[in-house]
Amino acid sequence: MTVIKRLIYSVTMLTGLAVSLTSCDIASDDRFILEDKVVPQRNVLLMDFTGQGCLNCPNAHDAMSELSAQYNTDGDTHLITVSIHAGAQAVPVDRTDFSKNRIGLMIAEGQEMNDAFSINAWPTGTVDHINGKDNTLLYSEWPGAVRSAFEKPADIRIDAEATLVDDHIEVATQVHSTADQDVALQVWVIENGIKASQRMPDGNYDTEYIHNHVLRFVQYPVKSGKPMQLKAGVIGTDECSIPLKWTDKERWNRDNLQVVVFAFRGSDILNCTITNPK
Amino acid sequence: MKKQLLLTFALLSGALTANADIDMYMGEQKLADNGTYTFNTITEDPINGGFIIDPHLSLLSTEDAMVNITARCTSGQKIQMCAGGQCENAPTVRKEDITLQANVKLDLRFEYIDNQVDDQSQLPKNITTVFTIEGDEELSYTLVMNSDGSGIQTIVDRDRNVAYANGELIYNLSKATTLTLCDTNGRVVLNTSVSGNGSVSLPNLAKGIYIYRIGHNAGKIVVR
Repeated sequence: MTVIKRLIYSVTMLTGLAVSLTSCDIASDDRFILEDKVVPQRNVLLMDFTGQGCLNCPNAHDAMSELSAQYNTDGDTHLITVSIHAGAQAVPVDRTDFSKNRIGLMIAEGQEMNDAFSINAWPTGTVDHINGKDNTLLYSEWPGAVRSAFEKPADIRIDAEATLVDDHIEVATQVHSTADQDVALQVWVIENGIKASQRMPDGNYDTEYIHNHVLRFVQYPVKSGKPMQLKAGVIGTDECSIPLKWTDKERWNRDNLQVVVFAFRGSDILNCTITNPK
Repeated sequence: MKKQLLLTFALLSGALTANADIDMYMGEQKLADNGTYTFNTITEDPINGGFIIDPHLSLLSTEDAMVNITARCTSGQKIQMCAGGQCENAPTVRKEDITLQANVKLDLRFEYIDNQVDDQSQLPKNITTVFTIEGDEELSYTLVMNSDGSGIQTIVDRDRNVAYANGELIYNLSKATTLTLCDTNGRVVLNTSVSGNGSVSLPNLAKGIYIYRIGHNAGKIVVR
């Protein structure tokens, strides 16, 4: 530490000590300021770029769980959380070897999105964005970003239904808009409850770690999505059929799947929804 | 009063001018400033596949200090450092304002990872990284990993309690068990009881692949 830095540090510490000694008498009623409860104007999509070899990533997983518990309390999911495995510490799906209990969770589209954000450090997240180096956040920044995102009004609402038909998920989407606008639509499949290894903060591996809301499938091109021209008051619709995967590299548990649908324009996600296939 | 003021000034001056002595360690080995070091222990990751080279780098300071750390891989590979929160993986990784507590080693969590190869021979040779530590003084160290491809591979079992390095099979066990080591012809090279923390000296192992079984765990050692 330089001499000047050390001097500033010492003066600051002494000043802080003096202030603290003179300001202890706070009335009990004034110690806590209750924040107004955030009333969701929309749904918000929080993405966490993560990896099974990333030893700091479980901390971000915990942060995501805490936020989900905070915002999803009334039976509806307003904060949609997705873990996207990507980067040097992620294990590609094509490295999966069930005989060795090695399960890879990184799909090509996840890596493509990681690169669209120019991410080279994990864990890194983003709130309501689909690309952009400046749109990345440390997990300590997620609470504030999520709160701000919920306060933004949305002129789009998305409803989606997903149905399991034999070995496919049939997804039917309706997009409601209060204005004429062009958007891009995207449909994802995520899976909860995947038991696969995860490196923990102490450097060791938990071979029975439970991975949740893992991105498993991207329906439309990552960069462009599916273009939709919306008219005010006219419902835009989309239907797609997604094959369930059961291969030597990927095996989905159909009971643990969810479908995420969102509309975006440029780097901004305009609104999103999540549904469980029936 | 005058004496008290002088004493206070002297103490404050002492605090302001005392420089932290900072050293980098590779495991238990203290590294010399401007020194060049090699590290050739390669760990196969049996969980996620691929290989990890972890030289167990840490910093130790005699005083509380704040430093900037730059790791630059001059041989062009991407290296990884997780100290400070995020695990950053790039040819150059810089961590700013890293806090060192006096006399407490900070693990830099520095590694070279490649989880996309199945054979050690596919790993790059001479992975060279230059470290710069900016504190009261600037320190520099050069580390060469897998020098000339001579890396000695270790196997780390799922609980990370067995490893082989520098002619020794090192174990860290919760209960007593039997350690057996066989060559690929099935010939038993070693059969012994082990427990707790310890190691078995195996300095004369011929080059080749060996299979070990320790308790319920099994793995392989490749001696090059």
